[in-house]
Formats: sequence, C-alpha cells, structure tokens
Amino acid sequence: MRFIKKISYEQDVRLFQHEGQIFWYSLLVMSVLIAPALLDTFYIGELSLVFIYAISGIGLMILVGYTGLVSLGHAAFLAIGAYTHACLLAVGVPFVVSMICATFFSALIGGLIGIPALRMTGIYLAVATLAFASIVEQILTHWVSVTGGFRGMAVELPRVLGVELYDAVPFYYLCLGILVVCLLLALNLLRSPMGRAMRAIRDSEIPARSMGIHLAFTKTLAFAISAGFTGLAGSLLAHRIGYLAPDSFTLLISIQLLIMVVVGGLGSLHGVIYGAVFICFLPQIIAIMRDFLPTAIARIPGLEPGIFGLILVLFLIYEPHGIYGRWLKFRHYFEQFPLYRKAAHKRQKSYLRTERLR
Amino acid sequence: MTLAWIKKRHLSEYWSEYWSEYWLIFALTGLISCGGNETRELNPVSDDSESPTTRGVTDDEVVFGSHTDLTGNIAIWGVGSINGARMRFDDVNEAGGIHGRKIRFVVEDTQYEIPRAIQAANKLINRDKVFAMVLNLGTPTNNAVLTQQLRAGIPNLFPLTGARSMVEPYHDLKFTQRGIYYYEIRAGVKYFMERGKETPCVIHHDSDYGQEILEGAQDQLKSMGRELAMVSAYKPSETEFTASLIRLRNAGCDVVLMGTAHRDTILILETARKMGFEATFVGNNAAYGQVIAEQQSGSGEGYHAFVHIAKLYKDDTLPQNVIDWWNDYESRFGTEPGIPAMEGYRAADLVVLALEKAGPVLTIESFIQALEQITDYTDIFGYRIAFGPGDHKGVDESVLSVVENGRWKTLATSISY
Repeated sequence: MRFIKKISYEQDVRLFQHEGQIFWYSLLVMSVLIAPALLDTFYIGELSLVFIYAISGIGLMILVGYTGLVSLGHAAFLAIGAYTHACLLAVGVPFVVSMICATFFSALIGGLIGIPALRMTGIYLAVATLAFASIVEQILTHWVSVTGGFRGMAVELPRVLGVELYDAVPFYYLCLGILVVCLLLALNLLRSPMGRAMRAIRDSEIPARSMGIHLAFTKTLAFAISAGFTGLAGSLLAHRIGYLAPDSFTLLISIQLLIMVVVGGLGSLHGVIYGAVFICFLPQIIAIMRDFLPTAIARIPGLEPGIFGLILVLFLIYEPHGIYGRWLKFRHYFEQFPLYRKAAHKRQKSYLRTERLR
Repeated sequence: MTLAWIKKRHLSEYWSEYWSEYWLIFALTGLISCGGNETRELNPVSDDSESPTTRGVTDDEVVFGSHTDLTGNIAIWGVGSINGARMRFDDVNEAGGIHGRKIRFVVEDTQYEIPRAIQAANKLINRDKVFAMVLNLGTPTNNAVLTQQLRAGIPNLFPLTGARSMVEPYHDLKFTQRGIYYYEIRAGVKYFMERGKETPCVIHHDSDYGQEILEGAQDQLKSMGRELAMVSAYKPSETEFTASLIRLRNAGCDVVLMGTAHRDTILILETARKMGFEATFVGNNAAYGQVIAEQQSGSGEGYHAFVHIAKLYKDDTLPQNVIDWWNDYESRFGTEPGIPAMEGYRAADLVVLALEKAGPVLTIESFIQALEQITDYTDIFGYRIAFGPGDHKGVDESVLSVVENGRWKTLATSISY
C-alpha cells in the first residue's frame, strides 16, 4: 500500500498523484499508440468507435456524473455536431476549422437550451431534454436544403492538410489524439474552481448556493461544455458513419450514452472509458463468440441483444457504482488485505435528485 | 469573477510550477507523428501479402455476410430472409459445395440501428473478411454501410430495401432483385391513369420511404402531363386518419397512392370504409401482408398492391416443386414461409448460380461477370430475373395484387412504367 506524504495543498490538484500513476498511464499511452501495429483492422475500427463514444461520454459525464443533471437528449448534440461538421465540410471549410466550429456551435446550442431547461432538475429536466432531442430530430428531417431530409447527406472524407484520414489506422490516431486532448481538458476543468462548483451542486444545491455559487450560471455552463464535447464526438462519428441520416440519432442513442456513463461509473472519467469499452466491445465479443458456438444455438435470433441486456441488468443490480467502482473495490481489497471493510464503499450520495429546484 | 480566478491561478502558477505534469502531452504529440509514419510504411506490406488471393475465398470456403435485423422493428423481414437464404446455402454445403468450396454465411444483427450496423459492417469487412454481402436489410442501415463497403470492394447483393440508392448511381458492385419503390409506384400510377382514373392523390409516411413514393408519383404524373390533386403526410406513429382522409375525399381523389406500412394501411382502409370514401387504394410491397387482407370488417377488400413477389397460399394449386419447398421450409424452421423467405431463398439461389458460373477461379471480377451473365433466370416461384452488363436491376416488372374475399389475388404479372 502506498502512502503519499502531503507537503502542500497544491498536491491535491496535480494531474498525477504519484510516480506510480505516471508509469501506468505512460504504459497505457504507449500501448494504444502501438496498437495499430499489433491488432487487426477490425479491432482498430472498433477502438476508434470506443474513442468517439468516450469523447461524447466525457461530455455526458460532466453533466450527469459531476453536475448531477440528467439528459436524455444527448443524441441531439451528437447530431448537431455531425451535421454542422458535414455541412461546413461540404461548403469547403477546412477540416480542423469545421470541427472546431461544430464543437462551439453545439456548445452554444447547449448553453441556449440550458437557460430555460436548467431551472428544473431530475426527472423534469430529463423530459425537457427528451423534448429538445425530438425537436432536433424534426428539424433534421424537415430542413431538407441543409440536411438532405430523410435521404440524408454524404460526409466528405476527413482530410487534414491534404492528408486523407479515412482509413482505419489514420482515423484511429485522429480519434485517439482528440480523445486525449478532451480528457486533459476535462481533467483541468474538473480541478478548477468551476469543476468544484459543479460537484458542489451535484452533492447538494442548498449548501452550494450558500457558498456563493450561481446555480443557473454554473449549470448552463456545464450544459454547454457537455454539449460541446458531445458535438465534437458527433463530428468524428459523422466520418465513422460516412452518411448522415436522421435515423442515426434517435432516442436509443441517447439512452445508450446514458447507459455508458452509468455502467462505467458515475463521477469518474475512468468510468467513461470503461463504459465506452463496455457498450462498444461487449456486443461484438458476444457476436464473435457466437461464431464458435454450435449452429443450433448460434442461429437463435436475438441471442446477442439478449445476453447483452442480461449482463447490463446484472451490472446495474449488483454494481451500482459501475465498472470503475468495482475496480476501486477490487484494488482496495488487495491494498488493505486483511483489514478490508465492506462498509468502506457504502453509497453516500445520490447524483440524480427528482425534486424541483425552488 | 470565478473565471478570472481560474485563469490567474492556472496560467501563472500551476503551469510554471507543475509543468512536469504536462510532459505527457508533449510526448504524445511526438509519438503520434512517429506512429503515423510507421504505420503508413506498414500498410502496403500487409496489402501485398493479401493480394494474391481474393478476400473471403479459400480453396474450400467462400464467406458471405449479411447485416440484418433479427430483433428490431423489422425483424419479420430479417428472420424470414435469412432463413430462406440459409436453407439454400445449407443444401449446397450438404451436397459438397461449389467448385469444392463450402459457403459460410455470417449474419450480424443490427436491430435496425445505424451504430450497430456500422459495427456489424466493421466485423464483416475487417474480421470475417467477407467476399460479398447478401440481403442487407433496411434503407438507413444500407446507406450507412455502403460507403465503406464499396470502398473495400465488397459487392452489395440483393439488399432488402426498395430505396433508389441501392441501384442509383450505378455501381459495378450493386445488384438488386426486388422492385424499387420509386419505380413500382410509377408503374402503379401509369396503370391506373391509363385505366381512366382522373384525380390521383398520395398519402404517405413522413419518412425516406414515403418521400420516394411521393416523388415517384409526382415524376410519373409529370411525364404524363398530369398533377397530383392532393398530398397528405403523417408521422409513422400516427393512429388517427380521419382528418387526412376527409381532405383527400374533399379533393375528389379517385385513386389514392399509399406510401404506408402495415398498421397504418389497415387504419387508413378502416377509416375510409367507415367514411364511405370509395377510391381505389394502391400500396406496395411494404404494405402487403395477409393481415391487411383478412380484416374482419372487410376493409381490405379492393385494396391493390404493386409487389415483386406475390403471396402464396398453400391451399391454392401450387406446382409440386413449390409445395416441396414449402414443406421443407416448414420442417426446418417451424413456421410458414412468407415473402421474406421467398426473397431470401431466391437471393441465395442467385448467388449459388453465379458461383457456379464464375468457375473454380473465384474473384470479384469473375463473380460480377457471372452475375451479369444471368439473363434469363426464373426462380422456383416463376418470377424472372435478368441482369446484364451495366444492368444490375434484376426486376423491371411488378405484380399487381388485389384483395378479394380476404385473400390476395394476382391481377397482372408484368407491369412496368
């Protein structure tokens, strides 16, 4: 077990608490960097999807896990990012500029939606975001001159400075690079006063207000930042899909994103990554294992979603802290081996409150 | 105020004091550029090693793939068509394969969702390395996968959707064996306008499919120098059609072209019957179930549908080989074969035929050529399919079917626009 000697308060806000973390994270970075040399194209393609989901998960985690607001409308921000990016590319805006514009445009919309919506909390907010998502879906289908309506629109190939990034490996590095930048941004945000204000709101609003935190402002900003990350992910997703249609951004996607952050572990960025791996890889692993099963079993329709749903339900029942929470318990057990107490991880705070503010 | 504080603390103090935390970012930037170069050199090598053989083809196996919907909204199409195809492929494999190769058919369930379709395509293309995809189901899912599929050089054979993007723009790797909604409805408009109908109207789903129906009707009428009298669109979840139908009736419509699916067709026909609105209702393959024909109230009577395969009834007089096929299907899967099963079976049969014609040396080129040589194929149900060089649309004619006494009855078999 490691004991950290604290000699200054600023130690608490460092990105890495000790050398051990630096070592392990460097190892992780190295392994994802050399992954394309070792892994099959299939896994590289899946990993880039994991990265894209993780980026949008960061956005949702800031909102749900750190500010305690729930959103059932994040597919809409994914769509706004994707369509903005695709439209700008189509009129000849350079890739990087277009991606940044897509991010900021989603953030702007997120902020605007936040102003009225965030005067509610809990289930009311969830319903408001749901309504917002269905409005966006209608706009996408009926603003034919821009979005192509139902027929959808093709997305131009990603090109940075004349280099085409469509193939699996370059696209993998593109997604990885953006994910790392997003993670660092999110980490910095969360250890800044603003991040602390968000957590204060999550844990309890009344004390947060007594400490001088402007609730509506902080929440609106959290919503905007969250929408920004998700919009950025959307612009990458546009390239991964290659062809945008309103059907790509349905309620199911919003729910999937929410499942991702809940299963990963609310209130941790690690959870985002675990959650993304869970929802992207698990169905594929089940599909691959199915190929090795005897024909009679493998051909049952609905085998994969059935098993996936079962694992999901078991997880939510037996591990409400998510994958990351499970890992923490696992680690603590070994660190404190004979002295481990079950009660150490007793749930103390809830992130989603179903009461109205004011 | 808060924001200003962040800026001051972070930039002036943290950055200078704890810069070492940021070494990772610099290391990353460096490594990304190295990584990129490294792999660009690696790529051609791996391509070269694969090129002598065609992907998905070995001496004793050829791999076909399909992304379809086995558990989602349109699973009724997915399950039936896959069963039909498996039936044919299993027979071939039991008989020892084609030119010594057995067929492996990998089916992925997309649940009619686009992200799942993308993942399924990634698995089929990059992991299973399929030779071709057969019977991919759904318009949005097909469109989403098609870009990377064609880029990887994988043929898209006989997708289960009537969208025009499955044949247009022309591509060497796209083949269809079913009617395209757009052309089917054009044929329908022409058929009824030539038989004295005066005021055509459209009622359609507000969706990509409904849009194609509307455009087909408009384009055909334009070419005949006519116009649509009234158009009514509704959301797919709509359940109340009185207002829409009153509008159509007030416009004096005598033929109503429908871009609808099953449930809404039944509701529309039922509402029209109650209102006493007597126009000819014309649907297509997407609304062609027995359930429409056998409505208790008899509202289905006189409803027409333009389809590419007419429904079979077991108690009709069927040719012996079709009866055998029917019994065989029932014994394998425990249900009656519907149109999806017929379509799946025919798709697999066409694939098998092309594999035979392509000969022992199987490449994408030889396979496409073989398919193009199928110019006078008639399936076991009696329908003709013809391809040719530059013509990958297998069906140009539709069957006109009408409900009579609770059953579908074929009126005409070769209608084109």
